[in-house]
Amino acid sequence: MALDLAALIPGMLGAAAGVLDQKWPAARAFAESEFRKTTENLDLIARLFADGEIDEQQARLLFDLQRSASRTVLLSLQGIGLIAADEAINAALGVLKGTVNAALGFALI
Amino acid sequence: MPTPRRPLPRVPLVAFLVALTLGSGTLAGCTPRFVALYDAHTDEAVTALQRRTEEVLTRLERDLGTPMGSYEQFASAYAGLLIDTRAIRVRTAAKEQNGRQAEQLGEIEQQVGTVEGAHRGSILVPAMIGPIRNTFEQSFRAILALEFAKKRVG
Repeated sequence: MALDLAALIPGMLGAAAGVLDQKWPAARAFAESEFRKTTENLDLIARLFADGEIDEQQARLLFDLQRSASRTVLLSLQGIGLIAADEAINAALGVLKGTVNAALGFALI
Repeated sequence: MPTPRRPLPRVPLVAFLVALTLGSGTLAGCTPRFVALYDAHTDEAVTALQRRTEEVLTRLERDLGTPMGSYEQFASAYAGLLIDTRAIRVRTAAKEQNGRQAEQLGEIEQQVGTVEGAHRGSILVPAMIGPIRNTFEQSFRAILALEFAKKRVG
């Protein structure tokens, strides 16, 4: 008995895409909001420098801090993306589950 | 007389290996696999650290430029923030698939160290507190956003 698992690929893709479509709006909203806050903070640093409230050394220090904060945002986006990938893979495997488990005679998936 | 073994079905090898590889993490229903599960302790500890950081920033905003705002007055507060951040980072790093969060806490540690260095070197002025607060808030938000994302699946 050969299993035609290839026939299940469209269903797997649909299941994975469904999860990713569902996750993307929240990830996008988080990214947009944080990118906006980053630009606002850089604008604030530039204004403080232009107004003479901070000097170049202080502006550079503030920029370094902002760069560090931006790294934390990118790490979160990476993590949120991987969580979505986890869920997408599980959804895709869910499509295979019945067919594979029945063919093998034990619950592999 | 030994029981005859039931012959395995002839599942195409590649498809089987793909399913096995992809499925290896789901055998015990362990989701997610690429990122550690939600940890309430980390959530609470990071929230508490954010509050303590905000307390220090509020004091700085109020006292910088006065005798109460000298580095010596704040040295123990910086030490406390660094100790707390390191403690959370070490605990976080001990969990598998939690490297990103440990890196994020490393960034917070670096930020505290940068502010402390600026204060010690008399570079810190009240006008800098606004942008500094923004960077800390963004960092804490990012850490908690990832923790909340884990919570939704965990």
